[in-house]
Amino acid sequence: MTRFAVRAEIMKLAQLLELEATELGYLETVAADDLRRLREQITDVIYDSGSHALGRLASASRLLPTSVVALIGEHAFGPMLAARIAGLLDPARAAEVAAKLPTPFLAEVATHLDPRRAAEVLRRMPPDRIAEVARELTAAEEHVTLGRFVGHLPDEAIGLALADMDDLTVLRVAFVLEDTEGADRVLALLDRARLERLLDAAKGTELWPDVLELFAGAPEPWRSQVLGARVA
Amino acid sequence: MVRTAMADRDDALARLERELRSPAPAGVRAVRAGDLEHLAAAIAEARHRQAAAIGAAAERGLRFVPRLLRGPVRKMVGG
Repeated sequence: MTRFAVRAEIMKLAQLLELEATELGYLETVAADDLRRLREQITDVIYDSGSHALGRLASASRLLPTSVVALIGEHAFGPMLAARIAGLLDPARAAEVAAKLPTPFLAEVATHLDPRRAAEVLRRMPPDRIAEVARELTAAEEHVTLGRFVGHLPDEAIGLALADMDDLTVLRVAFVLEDTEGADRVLALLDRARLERLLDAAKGTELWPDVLELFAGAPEPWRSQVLGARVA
Repeated sequence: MVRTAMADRDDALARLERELRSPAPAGVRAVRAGDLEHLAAAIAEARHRQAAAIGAAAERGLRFVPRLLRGPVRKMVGG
C-alpha cells in the first residue's frame, strides 16, 4: 500500500460522492485496493440506480438529430447526467454529440464520467479533441479526473495531453493513475529529457517523497540511470 | 457497553452493505460505526440527488425537442 495510492482513492471517492476529501479522512487507514473496490461498488450502485430512467431517455434521443441531443445535454441535463447517459447511447452517435459540445462542458462531463462505461465513445473521439479536454482539466487542476482516464485513452491522445502539461502536473496525474499499467504507459510516452525535467522540477518540493515512492517501482535500467543519481 | 458498540457497528455495516448491495471490502468493514453511517448516508444522498436530477432534466429537455416530436419523445420517456 502506498500513501499516495490511498490519498488518490479517497480523492476519487470524494469526487464521486460530491464530498470534500477531508470528509472521508476516516478511510486513510484502509488499503488502496479495498478503497478502489469500494469506489467501483459505489459507482455501480449510482449508475444502476438511474439506469432505467436514463435508458428511456437514451432511447428517446434516437428520435432526435445529434445537434438537438447536444443542446439538451448541455442545457437541460448538465454535466453529471450527460456523463451518466453517455455510456447508454450508441457509441458512434455519442461521439457525434460530443463533437458538437463545447470543450469546457466536456471537461465537466469528464469529472463525472466512469470511463469504463464510455470506453467505446472515448475510442471514437479524435485524439486532438481529447487533448483539448485534457488541457481544460489541467487548467482546472482536475488531476484525479485526468488520472482516471489514462487507462482508457489511446497513446496518441495521452501523448498530446502530456506534451501540454507542465512537469508538476504530469507528476500529480501520475500519483492518481488507476494502476501500475497506466504508470508504465505514461513512462513509455515520456522521453528521457522530459523525465529528467520532471524529477528536477519535483526535487525540493513537497512532491519529492511521493515521487521517490512512485518511481521506486519503475523498471531497470531506467530507475538506476534517471532516479539513482538524484537520490544519491 | 462493548456489546452495544459492536451492535452499533453491525447495524452501520448492514446499512452500508444495503447501500452497496454487496459485502463491503474487508478494510472498510474495520471502520468505526459512525464513519460507516456517514459513508452509507453519502451513497444514499448521491442516489437521491441523481434521481431528482433525472426527473427535472427530462422535463427541461422536452423544451428543446421540436414540437412535432414532443409526443413520441414523451411517450418513450414515459412522462
